[in-house]
Amino acid sequence: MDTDDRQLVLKCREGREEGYRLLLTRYEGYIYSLCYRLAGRREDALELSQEALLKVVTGIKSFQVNRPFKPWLRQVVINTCLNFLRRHTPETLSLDQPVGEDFSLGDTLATRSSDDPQAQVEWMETRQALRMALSRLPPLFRLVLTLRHQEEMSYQEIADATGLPLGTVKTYLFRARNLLRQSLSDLYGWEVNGRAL
Amino acid sequence: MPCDAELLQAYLDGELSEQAARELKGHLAGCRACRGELSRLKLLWFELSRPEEVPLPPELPYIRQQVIAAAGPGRGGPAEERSGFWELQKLAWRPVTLTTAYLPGAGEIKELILAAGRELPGLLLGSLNLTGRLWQRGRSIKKGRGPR
Repeated sequence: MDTDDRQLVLKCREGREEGYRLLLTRYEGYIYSLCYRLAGRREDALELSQEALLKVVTGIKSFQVNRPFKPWLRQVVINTCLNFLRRHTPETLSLDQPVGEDFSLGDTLATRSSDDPQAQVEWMETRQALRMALSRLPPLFRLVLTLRHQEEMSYQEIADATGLPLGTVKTYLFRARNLLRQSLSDLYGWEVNGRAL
Repeated sequence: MPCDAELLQAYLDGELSEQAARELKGHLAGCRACRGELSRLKLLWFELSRPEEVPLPPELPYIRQQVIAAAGPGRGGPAEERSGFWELQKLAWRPVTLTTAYLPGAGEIKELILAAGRELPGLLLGSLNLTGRLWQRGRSIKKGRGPR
């Protein structure tokens, strides 16, 4: 574990407020960012951040000091977000179900400008299109994508962290990327037909 | 080896065994379509792996303080029993709302609303009555008459 993290955790365990303050200050931005990427909305991310911070503070005594702190913290956030997503997803809508039957990520893209087609393929536009497409993904698709690409977790680590079967993690990742790839296909004019996508 | 989009993704994720990766590279050497697809996926990977800039909300320091005050040293109860974010917000803003209700002029609100012919719920009327009385008392104290 990072020496500073260890010292702060020990301070917390001694009941020193300074330890809590410094530890939370160090990680509150990370916690909020992760919550935001997993939940997708500012209000939800704020609520989740508070819940996760509370769990960190109340659970710090059960944390094993000789282990890395950040993975433990990340697991707390993932659990919090998963519970939230399960609580807030209507029973009629599965977490891994696309938003609509005729859902097409291409629909989320800006209409191609006829007079300036090159402007459509600028990086900012690509990012914006991807962000919009990401926000419309089923919650669990977005969650596994975030854990894979932003947190750089392996398939097995994601399965362990979320409790999803390994095969399900692979399927979600594959299906989510195919949906996102479609968004880029529309921007770049890539072929979709004829490929096993 | 047939074209397999899922294998391409697993390859970019670094999740293929050495043997499977070798076989895929062999396939890529002879399959232009898969090489093209791999390039396209690399662009997607690049975009997905770039850290998204999430603007941090100004409420974070406040939330931190609330969490420490609620569950910090010497107050280690279970998190589920504590208030949610919006409940804490209400608590934090309560002094401001009370102060606002006590501003000069609050005493006339009731008369203004009654003059407009509207009915208010009893609770709100009660609050306005109380606010008006507080204001009147505050004025009398200022004038040196003292609280009665």
